Amino acid sequence: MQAFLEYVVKGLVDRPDAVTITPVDRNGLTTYELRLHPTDVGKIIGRQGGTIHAIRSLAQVGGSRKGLRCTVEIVEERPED
Amino acid sequence: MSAQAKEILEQLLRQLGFEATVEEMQMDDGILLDVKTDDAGRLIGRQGQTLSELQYLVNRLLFRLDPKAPKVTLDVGSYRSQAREALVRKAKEAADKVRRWGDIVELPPLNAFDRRIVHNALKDDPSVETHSVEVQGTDKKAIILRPKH
Repeated sequence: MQAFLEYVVKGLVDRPDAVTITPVDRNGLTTYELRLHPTDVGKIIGRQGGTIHAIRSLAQVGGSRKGLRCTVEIVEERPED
Repeated sequence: MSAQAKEILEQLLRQLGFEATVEEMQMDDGILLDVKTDDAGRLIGRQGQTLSELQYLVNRLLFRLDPKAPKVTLDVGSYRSQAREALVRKAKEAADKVRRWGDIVELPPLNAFDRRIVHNALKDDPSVETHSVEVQGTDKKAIILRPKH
């Protein structure tokens, strides 16, 4: 799943070097936290959320093939004050 | 060039844990990638939802590699080609209605890929023109057919 997310996300952004994906397990649900360069966030969300929706739903389908529940969240880091 | 699309799709399927083979076909408006897999139901999803999302991602990834690459349509077995035939049939029936009665006919809301199929199916029809209109109060779009003057 990590490989899928990395392939898709890095293939869609301008700054693949700034992409990190961290799986976080909570009660059998794996949340993949996605951190991106701020200018790339819109590219992953997509028009009307279409891209993040597609990524999330395919991650779910891929997970279900392996009996896993997973989801994807974009984490926006607040700039340091 | 289109080998790229096949590679992207094969890569995604592998990463999602599907054992599948992909066959590539040329169409007049792009390329068709037909997937054969033992888990077709899961790959297609409810009303073809999963297949549409996979198709969307393949096209986005392909566009980033090559903005001029032809559009890719995905199919599983012949799920989509059958759905496509049914849609074209519906579009032509609606066009017959317009011809017969001279009225405007509105089709149910469709996604962009399906609207494209309808527009293409009727683009050479001398008596009917097609327009996409927003369905009021929603973010969906539907096609209306009206007589050509």
